Amino acid sequence: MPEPIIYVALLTELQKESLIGQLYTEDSYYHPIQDAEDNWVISTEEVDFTTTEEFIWVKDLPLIVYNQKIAELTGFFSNNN
Amino acid sequence: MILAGTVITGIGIDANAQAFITAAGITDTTQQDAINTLVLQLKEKSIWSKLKAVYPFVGGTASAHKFNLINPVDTNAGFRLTFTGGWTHSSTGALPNGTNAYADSFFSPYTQYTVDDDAHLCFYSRTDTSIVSVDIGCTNSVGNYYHLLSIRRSDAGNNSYYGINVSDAAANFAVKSADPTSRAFYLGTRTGTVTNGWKNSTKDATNTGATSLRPNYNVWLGAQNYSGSPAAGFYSNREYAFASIGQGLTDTNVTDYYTAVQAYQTSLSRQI
Repeated sequence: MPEPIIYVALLTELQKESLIGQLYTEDSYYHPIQDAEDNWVISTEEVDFTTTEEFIWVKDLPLIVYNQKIAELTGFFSNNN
Repeated sequence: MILAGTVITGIGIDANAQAFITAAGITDTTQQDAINTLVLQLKEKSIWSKLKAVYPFVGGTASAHKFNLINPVDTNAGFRLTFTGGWTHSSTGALPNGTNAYADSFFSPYTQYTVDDDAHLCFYSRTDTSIVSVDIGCTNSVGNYYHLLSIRRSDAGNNSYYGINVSDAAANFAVKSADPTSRAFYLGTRTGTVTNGWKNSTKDATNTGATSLRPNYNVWLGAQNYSGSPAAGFYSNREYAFASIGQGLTDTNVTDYYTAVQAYQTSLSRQI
């Protein structure tokens, strides 16, 4: 079965910095991550559930298809075990 | 209590249950009764004292789901969850998005346990997926030792791995081959060198030669805490309706625990 297409919201470097450690709604923190092309992104859940007035602008962010970065782990419990 | 067809609430509420209900702001009487019954059953079966952190995921919001039933205070030291990334909270539980979501329990096996060989991890999954993920636990990347459950891995023949304070070798994990579904109560427990992996009330996997090392990183839910950072490619998209961290459990403990948790889910109409 083909992998489902996941969309994420694209951030600039400055936007990423402004979201780190910040709440998007009560008891829920933003978590910008990098995709396989090193774009900074947040999830559509973070966008949709944002109620913090200061960050309402995330609802206007462009969406891109998420291409997951593969972790370079060592040991038995890597993703190539 | 039910008297002549009338449900009387507020009588006989366990003090620990009441503390959680108050902290989490639970006002629904069905949810209050479910929590109270769960606590009473865990105490009656002598399981309560072996639990360090319990997350019942009742109330439908992050603010309700974050509290530890054992010590419902809003502090890291109370092992209150901190939700990060994309989570969806509802009456059926807490659902991470499988992309960037995790919850930090602030529970480090290294600092919270005094021995390596007396611990368990547990979660109740309402989602059937085959993915590469860690649902609960942590990893120390220096030396590669593990305190985690990783079930139904799509990159490993849908095997489920139960590793409680073990070092870096397949031979140290309890492994269930070709796990057919991930909609279940999962529990990995270690006593001495024996690690058992349980699915619902069935012992699905056993390893008798576990080595002893425990990571000094926090147990996370929904992702692999890889020496303090989330490991890309190890996020889960399974909805959790319960989770716990605690001491090792006997076979009788586990079957009693499953019975109590399943009754709890049934009372909330979200059992699988």
